[in-house]
Amino acid sequence: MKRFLIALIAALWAGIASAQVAIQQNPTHLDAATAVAFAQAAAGAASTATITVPSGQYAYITGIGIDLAQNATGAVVTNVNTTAMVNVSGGPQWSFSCVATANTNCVGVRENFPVPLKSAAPGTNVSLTATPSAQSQFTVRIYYYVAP
Amino acid sequence: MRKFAFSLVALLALALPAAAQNVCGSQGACVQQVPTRPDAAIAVQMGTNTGTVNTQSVATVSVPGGLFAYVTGIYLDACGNATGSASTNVNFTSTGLSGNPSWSFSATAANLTSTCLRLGDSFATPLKSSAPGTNVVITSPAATTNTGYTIRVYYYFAP
Repeated sequence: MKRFLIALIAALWAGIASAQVAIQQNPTHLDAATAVAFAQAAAGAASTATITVPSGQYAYITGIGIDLAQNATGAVVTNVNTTAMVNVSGGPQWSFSCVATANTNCVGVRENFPVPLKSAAPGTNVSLTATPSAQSQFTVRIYYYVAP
Repeated sequence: MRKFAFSLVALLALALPAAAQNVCGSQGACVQQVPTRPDAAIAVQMGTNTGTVNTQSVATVSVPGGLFAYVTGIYLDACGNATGSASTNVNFTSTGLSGNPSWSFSATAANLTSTCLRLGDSFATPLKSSAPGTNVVITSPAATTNTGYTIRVYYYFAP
């Protein structure tokens, strides 16, 4: 009976392993980003991405991506800044200019932080708002994890 | 009973690896089970005159006495207005970093008309400032008629 049980467990284990394809033999990456605060409002409207930070925890930001895309009409964007990021010491901002070309993407933001950026106060949300001109649309992505 | 205990241990062995990854609260917010990261950047030093055309931007990280700034990233924007100005071999310069590196660009007026150039670096291992208590300063090119400059320096302080 004992042998049967051992064989059964081994068979189950092998079954699970064979059902999962190409698993990296690497431990859980505990400081991996686990979520993305994402916002995409309609053209001309403000996009606000918000990280909801649980009490006693901080947000660790591992990357920021911001797209600025013109709609089918297009309008010039001249030296527009995002608002200051909320609950990040220093309140970083990002700047944009863009020609009025219909259906065109402007130069976006791609910032990656191998060493993450930690929010300022625990249990306080982090947010970033970007407001475009009438005929363009901001998309904001903040990659993060939450930890003490 | 022995069989039951054996089965229970086996089930726990299968379930534990998944449960150890993170803890999710009742609101769905998951907390990574990783300790506080003491080398995370905890502040961003913005330059002056963010995105304002015809001004120079200067970002000054004021380093307390006896400490160093550990820079984890430097990102720089140069955004032109609807007129645009040419820039020829201009630099964002630095002080307080060993070697005082610069970031350079050139652009035609057309290449800086209603568009942005983005420069910068991020570091898997932080860049330590050159001397304790000495500020790290990043300075944009001189004021340019139709270009606004934005500087972000990500950092923390430590011995």
